[in-house]
Amino acid sequence: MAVFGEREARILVLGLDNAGKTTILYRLQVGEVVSTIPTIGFNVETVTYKNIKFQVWDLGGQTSIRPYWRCYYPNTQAIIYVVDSSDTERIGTSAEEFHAIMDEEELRDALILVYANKQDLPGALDDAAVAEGLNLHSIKNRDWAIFKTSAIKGEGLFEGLDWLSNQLKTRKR
Amino acid sequence: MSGDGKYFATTKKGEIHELKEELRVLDKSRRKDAVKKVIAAMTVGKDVSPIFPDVVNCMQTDDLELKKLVYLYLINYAKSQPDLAIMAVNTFVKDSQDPNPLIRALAVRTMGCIRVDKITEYLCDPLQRCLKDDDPYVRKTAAVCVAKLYDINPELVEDRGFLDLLKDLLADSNPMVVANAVAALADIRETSSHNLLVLTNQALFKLLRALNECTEWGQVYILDAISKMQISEAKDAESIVERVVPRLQHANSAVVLSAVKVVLLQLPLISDEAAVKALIKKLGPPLVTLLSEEAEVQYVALRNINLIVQKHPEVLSHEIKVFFCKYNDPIYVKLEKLDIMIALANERNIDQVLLELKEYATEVDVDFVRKAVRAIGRCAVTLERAAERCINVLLELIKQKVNYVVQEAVVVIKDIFRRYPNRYESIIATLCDSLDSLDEPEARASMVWIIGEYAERIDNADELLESFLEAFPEENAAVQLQLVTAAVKLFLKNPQPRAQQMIQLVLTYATQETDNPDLRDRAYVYWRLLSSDPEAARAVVLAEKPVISQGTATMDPQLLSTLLGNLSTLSSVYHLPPSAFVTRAAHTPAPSLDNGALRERTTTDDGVAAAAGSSSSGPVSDGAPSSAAAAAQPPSSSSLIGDLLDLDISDPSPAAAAAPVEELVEVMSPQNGKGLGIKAGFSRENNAPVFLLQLANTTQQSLDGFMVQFNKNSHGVAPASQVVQVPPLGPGETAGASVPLTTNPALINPAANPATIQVAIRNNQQGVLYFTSPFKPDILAAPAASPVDDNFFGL
Amino acid sequence: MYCSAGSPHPGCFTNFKGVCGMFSLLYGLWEYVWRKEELRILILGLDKAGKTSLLEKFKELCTGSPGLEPASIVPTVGLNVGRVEAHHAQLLFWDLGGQAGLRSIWDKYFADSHALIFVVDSTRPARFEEARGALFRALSSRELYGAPVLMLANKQDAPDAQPPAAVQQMLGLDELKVPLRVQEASAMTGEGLRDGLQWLVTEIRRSDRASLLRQRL
Repeated sequence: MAVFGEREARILVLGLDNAGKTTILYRLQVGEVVSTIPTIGFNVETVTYKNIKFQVWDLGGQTSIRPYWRCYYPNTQAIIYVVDSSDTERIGTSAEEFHAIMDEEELRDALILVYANKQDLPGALDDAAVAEGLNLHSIKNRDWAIFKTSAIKGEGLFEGLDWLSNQLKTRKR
Repeated sequence: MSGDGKYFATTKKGEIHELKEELRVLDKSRRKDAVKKVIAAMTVGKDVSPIFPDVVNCMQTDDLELKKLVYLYLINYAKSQPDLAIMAVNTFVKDSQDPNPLIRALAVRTMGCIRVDKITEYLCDPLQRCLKDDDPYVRKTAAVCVAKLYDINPELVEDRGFLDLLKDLLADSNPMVVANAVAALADIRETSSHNLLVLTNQALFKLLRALNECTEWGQVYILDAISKMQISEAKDAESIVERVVPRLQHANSAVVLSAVKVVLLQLPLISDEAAVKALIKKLGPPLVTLLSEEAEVQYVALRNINLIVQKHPEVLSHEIKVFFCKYNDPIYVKLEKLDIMIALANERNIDQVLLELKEYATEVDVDFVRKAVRAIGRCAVTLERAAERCINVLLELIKQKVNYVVQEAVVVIKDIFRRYPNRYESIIATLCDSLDSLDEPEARASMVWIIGEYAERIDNADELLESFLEAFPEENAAVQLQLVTAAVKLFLKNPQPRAQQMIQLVLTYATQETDNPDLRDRAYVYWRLLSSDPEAARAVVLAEKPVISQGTATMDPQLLSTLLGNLSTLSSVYHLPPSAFVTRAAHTPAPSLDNGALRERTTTDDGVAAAAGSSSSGPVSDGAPSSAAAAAQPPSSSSLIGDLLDLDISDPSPAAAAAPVEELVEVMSPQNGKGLGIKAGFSRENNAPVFLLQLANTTQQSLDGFMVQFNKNSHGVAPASQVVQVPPLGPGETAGASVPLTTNPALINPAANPATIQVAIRNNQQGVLYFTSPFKPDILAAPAASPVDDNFFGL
Repeated sequence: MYCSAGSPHPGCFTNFKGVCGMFSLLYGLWEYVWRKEELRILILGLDKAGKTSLLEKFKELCTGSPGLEPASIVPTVGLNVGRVEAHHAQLLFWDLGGQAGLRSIWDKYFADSHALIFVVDSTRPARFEEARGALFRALSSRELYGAPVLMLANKQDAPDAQPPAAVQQMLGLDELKVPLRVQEASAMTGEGLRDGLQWLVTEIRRSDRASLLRQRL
């Protein structure tokens, strides 16, 4: 548990391709919107927030890469699951991937933070609708939270981190 | 880092698992230690591929050392984990945009080394960026990466336009970039069908300028690229030479050899004889210097020098002492030196050379001794005025009665007899003394040939032959053949009952008891000759034999020029054209197949007489027919190599026009051909032999469905397809057609007149017509040598 | 005490350490017995009513170690799960976000809950009507049939807090036919929490909802 003593945490940012994971990562890290290309592989950056050093892993969301997400599960304290709220067609696919992650034994104790991203786009589902679409309520034995975010505008991201850092501090005991 | 030795020191169980755990810790320095352990395990040969994802996860780091280690791991294991390798892609993409040029170059280099199909596509964008990078170090690394990518996926490279980008780099401001671009293009050319290194004059001078400034290996690449260029202007050749000559002083032997190659290739273009002489003089010392290196390098140098002196003995003719064998030279060096000594031997230095060779012939290494004896024979054949001295040395050696020396001497003396007929036969007696010690087929065959050839001068020739005949069935085929011939010669020269008895015995055995078709055929021919017309037999068997060539060229001139163009490569060490051992080489130099076929024909044409000499040592007897074949080739200006390489700089005259267009002769008049007039002839089109026909229809009907066939002929020539590509021929119309030809050994009829071919032609209306067309075998020979090569030889 | 990480109670089984076979046997039995008795309690209420603070206080009271500072608690937009052992029962709290947009999720948890804790901010009478609406909408669900309701009139530590009786009256709780207790409470001081929880556990044991849920499993 020395890891928590040093206030470090390993976070995975997951979600379908084009959900905005990499944009979120760099918005959190450098506070700016950087131009991104599809991530074939991963990005990893350290984001220090509220005295916690988050080691944030942003994994590519392409179908070809999803099978390798599991390589990153061990020692993970939290999952940030990013949903493109405007992509209503694929919310079902996103839910399937999400619950596959939930069923992972290695992630049993991981916190679940959902970003209902791209709220800046017209026709974006709100947090309740995304929660509904993802069947979040079927999670009954661990903490989860959902936030409406817009990575482009920088909205909602740090609220989510607030929740995360709170939860991590609670668990630190 | 000597302190890193400790990473090699674990042998615990579950090491992989432990490493995995350590790689996952958040602490950077512990993770780096873990990666070092992984690399240590990798270098001692442990399979650490199961932790691939964990190592790849350490890839995104600011720590350059750690990054290098992870890259090293990737290069090793990406192939074993092709699926997971995709996780590394994004890091490559990022690193190729890193502000640090070292990291950008490292990324692009590693990308090139990862030979995984699935991810190559993703690596194109970073590569493209790096090819246009501001930093020359990145550009030069990217240039090499293109070549590597081409090896995996040529289509991708072409589609993405990387080849053009690479060509742009030839004009780069940085000499290292230029050198690497040249290297990459040269590498790609090996497998590509395009010639990518088409250099304009401007590019040429860029290269020459870069030559001075880039690293030694860069110089080698540039020199090799220049050597592949087709230079046609004397002015260009001179400026190339001017720039390249200083490279001859380079410490790196590869640079020296490549520079020698380039200079040699330019020589034919330089008209100023004094300048050529001066250049030749400059080539010698650097080559000599190469021989002060270790034996392995010496060997490579000697193999190359061997080629050079075959073409330009004058380069080293004053340096022959350098090639005298030292007692402690490895055998492979000694053997090469011998070859070069032979090539360099001349009237002036022959005494010195003979002294050396004689000494070598007393050494202990059998192979070396044999070659030394052979070398003496070669000197004798080459240098007429020294022949006697050589023979004296040989006789001295024979008197020493060392078995293998004697055998080798007998073989070379036979060649000397053929080279200088009726001059040295006085030594036959000495040879006969050693008869019993001959146990090798080649020596025995040579001895038998000598006995047969000079039967009238050897008193007991019949006895000697009889002694050989006792073991006839057990003899090697070559000896058997010689015995048959010798027996016939003996009989014809001295038709004693004893000889008659002998010949009957031999022919009976050779026709009835043997399974060897060559032997049987030869015996039948003799039998038929002897039984039908002994005079004819005498005319054939005892005919004056052509004097064998004195040419020093032991190699096909065309091959030699190919090899000289490939100096300082494996090809020049193997003495084989690259196509002979590099299977993927796309551009095969003009094969000399036709040439070979022709040579074979010459041998068969000479019939019995040539057969008698067929066991003579290869190189010497080969010389005559092959040079004859080369002489018979039409002076062609079309370059087969040029065509294959799609060179810009090619001769303006089209290939077909260059071929010898024979006048078509009337082979059938309309009166004889039921109203169809035919003119025919043989020629070459597009470097292939063709049969040309001109058909004139004087009948009242339309003729179609023309087909053609040849009777068996002296060269086995036949139409590739029987159908004649000619439109239906209306009344009064005339049409021409060309029929591609092939050769087929099964269709050879040695008895046929080599100057004509019997042709049958048919059409649907008239049925079959027969005629005889005059034929010149020239058309079968490919105009093999390119114009450059021609000049090369013409020097 | 129960640790969600799955490690055994540090005190109870000290003596058995080293007797691994017996330990795991007993541990399995212990889990089996008590899992049956896990009581799931849903904490609902409007946003800013103090649900998460109360949950933290429950945890603090039952485990003895301090929970999150109320000041650092951010609005819940999702689910907080709390596990404590109290009153000889294994309690599982589901603390759901109270913002209007997220209340639709509440329904999904009704069916599995043994009881309901409804939290009201006693200092904001202006929102009582809204709270009433949310509570009655929840209780109108058949899924919550028979579940006892503990009404926590929270923030009693504040000077302007309405007394429980006022809250009960203003929310019209008398109309409800379910087992109900209105408890004055404070997440800051912990006032009333023990009593309220004691009552709730007793009511759950008494009600037939536990056996109803068990059947449903």
